[in-house]
Amino acid sequence: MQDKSLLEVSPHDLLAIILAKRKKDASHLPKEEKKRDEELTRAYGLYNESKDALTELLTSMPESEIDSLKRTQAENVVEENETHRKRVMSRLWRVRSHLKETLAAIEYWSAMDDETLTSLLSDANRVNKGGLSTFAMNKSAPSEHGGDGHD
Amino acid sequence: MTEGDLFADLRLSERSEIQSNLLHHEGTLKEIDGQLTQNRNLTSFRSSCIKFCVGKSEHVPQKNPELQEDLAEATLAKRIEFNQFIQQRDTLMAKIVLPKYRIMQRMDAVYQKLAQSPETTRLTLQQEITLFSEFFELQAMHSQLEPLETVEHELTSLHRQIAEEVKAINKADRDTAKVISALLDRRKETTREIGRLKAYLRSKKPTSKPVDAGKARKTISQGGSISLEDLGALLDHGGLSNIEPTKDTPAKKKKKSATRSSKSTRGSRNA
Repeated sequence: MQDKSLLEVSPHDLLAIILAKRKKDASHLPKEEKKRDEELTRAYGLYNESKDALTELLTSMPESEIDSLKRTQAENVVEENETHRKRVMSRLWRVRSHLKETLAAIEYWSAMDDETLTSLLSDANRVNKGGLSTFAMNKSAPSEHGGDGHD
Repeated sequence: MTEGDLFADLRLSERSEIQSNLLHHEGTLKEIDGQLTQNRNLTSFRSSCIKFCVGKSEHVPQKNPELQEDLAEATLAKRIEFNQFIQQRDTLMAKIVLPKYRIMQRMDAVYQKLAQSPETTRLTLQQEITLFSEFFELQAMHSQLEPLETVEHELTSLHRQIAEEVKAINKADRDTAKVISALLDRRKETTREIGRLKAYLRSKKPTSKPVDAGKARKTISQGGSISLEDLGALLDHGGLSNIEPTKDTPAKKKKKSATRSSKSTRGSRNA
């Protein structure tokens, strides 16, 4: 976006842009959630299969007769599937969290009233009235503390 | 007229004429001193102005209407105006902190975060709210810095003008230094001439009591002592050769016997 046009963006314009973005996210996040859910079901399936295979190997014959190579391979497969399952689950939780956040954001931005908007623009209003910017306040705050320490 | 004679040109002049010349020279000396004082004050004022104008001193020099130094005074006024602009700019920057270009860069970054949905990191609602506030604060900061453009423009223009005028003042000061040097030479010459005239007048001052050569001669002839002035008067009137001793000579001293007594003096020495 051009520099000048950024200066012309109004709070309602930006609000609309944010809301549009959130709604767009909200439209495709359920699909993604479904996709991740299916992925997790598959991952669980793979994990359970490998775990059953290992159990079967261990119970089919006495422990001393089990081929150690086969046993190690079966254990590795279980471990890999477990890692994959955890990763897929984490992705699913992230998507669900985003969806939840997006829905909350849509609700928040949609219900924006003048009072809330004024409170959001309080820093801008202070600067417009000739007051200190947040950057100036943050800058002077440590120096004030530092000054006390040195005196 | 001899070559080493300091007063050769004055010997033919009348005393009154020399006195009038002396008065004229004394007047000239006073006039030179006045000019020197004025030029030195001017140099001092210019020096203070230059120091203030180039920022080496914070003390504002006092204007002196007698000096009529318009250029230095105008430059002084410009520097005061320049300082006011600097203060205005600093006050504004202390409130805003970020320069305009940084504000624009940050606004762009904030806008991108709010308007676009990146695949990697999505904003939380709280982050979105904070960025929304920040975006409009940045907008307000930018608009507050609008007068800064005029201030910066004025500062640049004034800085250029002051630099040029300081050069001109320096040049004028160099000229004044030459004038002071010439005045000092003239003062030296005038002082020397006044001294010469005074010395000549002193040397030609009539003595209050002329020396009596006859009296001095009489004093010598009687065996008394005379002063240097008396001696000078005697030399002018015939010298010391024709002084005759007076008849009544002092009583003769009893001569000691040439022959020594053959009598033994032992024992009597301690008597």
